[in-house]
Amino acid sequence: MPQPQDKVVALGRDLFFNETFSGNGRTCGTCHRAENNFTIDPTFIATLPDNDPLFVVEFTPALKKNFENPRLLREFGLITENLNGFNDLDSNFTLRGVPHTLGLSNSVNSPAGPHTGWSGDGAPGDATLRSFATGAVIQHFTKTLNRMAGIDFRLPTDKELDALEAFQLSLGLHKDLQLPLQLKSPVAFRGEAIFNDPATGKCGICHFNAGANADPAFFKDGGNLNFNTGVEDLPDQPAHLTSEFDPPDDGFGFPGDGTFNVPPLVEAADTGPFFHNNSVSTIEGAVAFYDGEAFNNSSAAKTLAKLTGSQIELDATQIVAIAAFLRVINALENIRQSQQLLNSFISREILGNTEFEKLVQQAVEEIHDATNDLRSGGLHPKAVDHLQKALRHIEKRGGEKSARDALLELDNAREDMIEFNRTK
Amino acid sequence: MNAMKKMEVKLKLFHLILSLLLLVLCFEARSQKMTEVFIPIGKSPGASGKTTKMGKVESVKKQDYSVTMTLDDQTKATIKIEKSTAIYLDKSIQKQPNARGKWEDIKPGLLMEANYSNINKSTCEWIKVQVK
Repeated sequence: MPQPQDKVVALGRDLFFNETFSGNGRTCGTCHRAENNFTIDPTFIATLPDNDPLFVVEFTPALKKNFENPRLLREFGLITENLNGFNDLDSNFTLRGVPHTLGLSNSVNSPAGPHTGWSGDGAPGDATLRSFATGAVIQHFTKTLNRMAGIDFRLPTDKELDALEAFQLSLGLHKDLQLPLQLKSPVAFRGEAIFNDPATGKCGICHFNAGANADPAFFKDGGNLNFNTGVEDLPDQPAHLTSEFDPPDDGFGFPGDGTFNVPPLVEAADTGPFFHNNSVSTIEGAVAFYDGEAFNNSSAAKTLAKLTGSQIELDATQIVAIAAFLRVINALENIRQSQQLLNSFISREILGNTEFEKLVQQAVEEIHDATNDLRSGGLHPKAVDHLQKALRHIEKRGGEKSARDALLELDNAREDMIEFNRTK
Repeated sequence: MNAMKKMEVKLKLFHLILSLLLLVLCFEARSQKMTEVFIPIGKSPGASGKTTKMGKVESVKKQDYSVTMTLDDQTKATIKIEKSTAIYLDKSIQKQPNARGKWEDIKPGLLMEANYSNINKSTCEWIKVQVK
């Protein structure tokens, strides 16, 4: 598994954030922002300057029509994808949110073949994560809608594709969690139990160990699967409440079969809005979706009912408990990542490049995320206090000593949330 | 006679299953590889040179929708075009945008690449023809 200090990963990181492939100015990092958990959302988008390459449609005449919908991009973080071809750009497109690229090493492989993008079919060539970058350059980096290689963009080389893949596989968790965790919050602990209970929450059947793979006890081969969960049937989807044209998304294949890819959940709480169309903005709302009509009338719900003998029925307290569980595991992952970043800063494991200077800043952002995950759910006030102390150590002094002090506070925060053995 | 009839029914059933199977394969989801059309001939990541065959079109048989091409090593390869096979026109030599093509666009003398990287490896997933 690629490690953050690998040379290939370092090259991939540099390409991911800086290489425009001679296109319209966008990079992979334009939509998959390191400072925003490798995704974008309306709140983050609102902080960007008008000349950010994300808004290239607003200042490039050749892309003015049929490249992005500027309003839906800004208000709901929706990106235009021509998943069913480029013949009729006026009406043949879908609008999708930007999935984060964390934990791909656990989610991208499936017995059915490599799954990339929201519907699992986002890559040309051999359909792998490695080839995904080529498709992304053609779809999103082009200078004009002619999309001519060598004129509107250049195609990534084999070496670049290798590096980009290695970098993406280095992000996030490299191994799924092993549930159950010994969580100290009674609400999150109960949420975990409901999440894993095939009679109540049933979440773990498709999100085994809160990841993107199916429970092999229910799906023989396990792996990352596609389902039609009825998200497209949700009433009052935000983009539909505007006057903008937002055609239905038919999911995997051409013509689509209505299915979408199961995403990992460890980083869910701080990477909303949720689902392929950014239709739900809170993690509590995303859990509540599975208690609604759109889901319970879907083919996925019928499969689930066959497997378990009943549909999902959750009360408000149970919905909040599952969300609390997701908030806590996300905060724990933020803490793990911030500790990894600070340790890399101290030991200078990351190979020297411009990204090295950003390690501490990324750690700070992870700590902010952990704080938000917990605060917004009214969880672990003591842990939040330790996280704030960690931030103060870093922000006041900087340097190695403050990084070490911050690491201690991060351990304290972790200790407040879960039973674990301190390493030092 | 009875045994003959049973055999006939079995054969009919076999043909029905085979036809259904072929139908399923024909409509196999091509998946969102739509950006493939814009990738020049020989440059498809992870596919070109691995799951593709490339050569000059030698002959086109309209009767059975097959194309015979001469590969670089001078061997011949016959490609069967299915309903599900996407045809892409590489117009990069003309400095024109690439486009979806039709069966009629495949002509002797043109450079062609045929890909078999889909799940059913015996079905040609797409072909690209370099338009001069």
